[in-house]
Amino acid sequence: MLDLIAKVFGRDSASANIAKERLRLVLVHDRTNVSPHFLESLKEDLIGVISRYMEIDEANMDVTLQSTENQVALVANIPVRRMKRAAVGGGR
Amino acid sequence: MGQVIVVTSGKGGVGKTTTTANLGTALAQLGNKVVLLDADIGLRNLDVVMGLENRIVYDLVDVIEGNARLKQALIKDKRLDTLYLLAAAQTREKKDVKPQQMRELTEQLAREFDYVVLDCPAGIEDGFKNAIAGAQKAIIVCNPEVSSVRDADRVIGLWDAQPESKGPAMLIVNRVRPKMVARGDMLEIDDMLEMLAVDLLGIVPEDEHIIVSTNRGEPAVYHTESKAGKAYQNIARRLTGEQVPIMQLQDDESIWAKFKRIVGLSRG
Amino acid sequence: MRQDIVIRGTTRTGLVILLPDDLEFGVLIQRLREKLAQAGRFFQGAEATVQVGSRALSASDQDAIARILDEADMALRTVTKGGDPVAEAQAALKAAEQSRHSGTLPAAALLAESETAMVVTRTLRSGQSVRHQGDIIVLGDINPGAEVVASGHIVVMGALRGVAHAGCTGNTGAFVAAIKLRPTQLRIAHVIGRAPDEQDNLQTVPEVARVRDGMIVLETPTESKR
Repeated sequence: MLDLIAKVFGRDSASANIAKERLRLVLVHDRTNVSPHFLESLKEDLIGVISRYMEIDEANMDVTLQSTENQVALVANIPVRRMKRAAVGGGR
Repeated sequence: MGQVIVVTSGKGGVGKTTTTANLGTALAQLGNKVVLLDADIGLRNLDVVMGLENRIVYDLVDVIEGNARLKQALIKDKRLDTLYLLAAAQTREKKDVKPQQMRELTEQLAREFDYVVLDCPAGIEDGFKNAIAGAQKAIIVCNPEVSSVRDADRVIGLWDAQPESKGPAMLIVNRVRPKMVARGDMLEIDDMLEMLAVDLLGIVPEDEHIIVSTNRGEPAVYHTESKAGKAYQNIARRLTGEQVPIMQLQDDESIWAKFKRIVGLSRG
Repeated sequence: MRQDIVIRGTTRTGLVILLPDDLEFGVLIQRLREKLAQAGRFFQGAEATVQVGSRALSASDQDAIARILDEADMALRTVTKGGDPVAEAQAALKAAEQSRHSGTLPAAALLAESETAMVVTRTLRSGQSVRHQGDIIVLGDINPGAEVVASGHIVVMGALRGVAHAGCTGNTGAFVAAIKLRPTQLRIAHVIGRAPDEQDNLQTVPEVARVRDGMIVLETPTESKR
């Protein structure tokens, strides 16, 4: 009965949407859990891109996936040593 | 050389055995020489679904261990002359077979048959590894449920991670209830495809005929009024390279109309 | 006079392989190898006593026998000399047979017969299998997917719905009896029978399956007496 009322007032989203959202999160979790070398190669690519714009402290950089109840976030802590002049100028 | 196709899912109870039986029968109805291979050692079921349980004398393990020749162990179907079954051993265990042995067996079968269809056990352990070892293509059977999609994702990952280059995984969404989809209470196939990033091979509606046909030991593709049977026939034709549009179900044309644009199978 | 190798098992002595006296040793060894190969996996893991009658075996002869058993995944327990327990048992059986016709059953003969039987006091479920050299009696059901293999008779005091193989070493005189005989498949010696695809007029009385004219037939125990 409550379900019906909820539907009438449009508050409840259909269960397929709930399923879809839950599934999306679960898959992100599952897939990131699989390989530590996934993060490693992501880190390398990040260094490659960022280094074009700034000089970074590669040894102290930290890239992780953090998951909370309803989202998964990529958290990167990258100490910057110096900005590159070309980048500051807004073009290469 | 024939094709070796494994029917797998990760999760149990989604309809692997039903799919194997119906697809194999439909392929044979199209005139192909087909052998069904039950890789679920210790929990065999394909024989019962095909109605051949009382004809088994030798099984897959007997062939692998050399107790019987392949020809002796192949059981001819009741109705179709070009359809055969190689049963799983019931009193043995998955670890009694090694992936290399399965690879050799499927290779041997592929020399004589157009299609070798393997019914994979649930799970991702020894039985799964054996079943996928010799396969060039994988059909992933999945129900529109969170748990099933999640397991399908895991299995697709394992399939893709094999060192040999093999065909892409193809998805069959089984037990779809059009009314629930229309109501918004069933995962939409578009969403599943997007999340799993695989090609759609077919959609099979929930159908009471499946239960009746399993009771009788005759696959649903024999029953012209069975929607699931019709869906399996379409899937078989797609497997042979024919372009067949995804079936529209009467219950809700508008929802099903969407599936028409879904990927063709030319890659396969 | 025995001409061939006899493999025999009793609960008292375990598996016994009897080697006839009048075969040349080379031939004998060859026959033994063939015989074990025929039995397939049946004896796998078994420990056997080899009984040689009056033959004298050298140490290397014994090694040869041990090697053949090893090839068949069996172990040699001992080699013994002396009388032939099979002949003795058969004589006892014959005596019992005769006395049965005369109306009396000597207890000793009954013992000789029943000593080869194995009694299973539970229901066998799918995937379970019982193998025994001799007769098997099951107090329970045999479900689909379960199998019972015996070199002798099989008697099921319940429903037989799985696979039963009696006389698996070649005895076509073996039978399978069950209170409710609905097997997936029946095998007696080398004869295989399966239930017809359309099962109607099913018997509701106990039945006995035997080989008659090279085919497995079902009879009621009264019909089957002969």
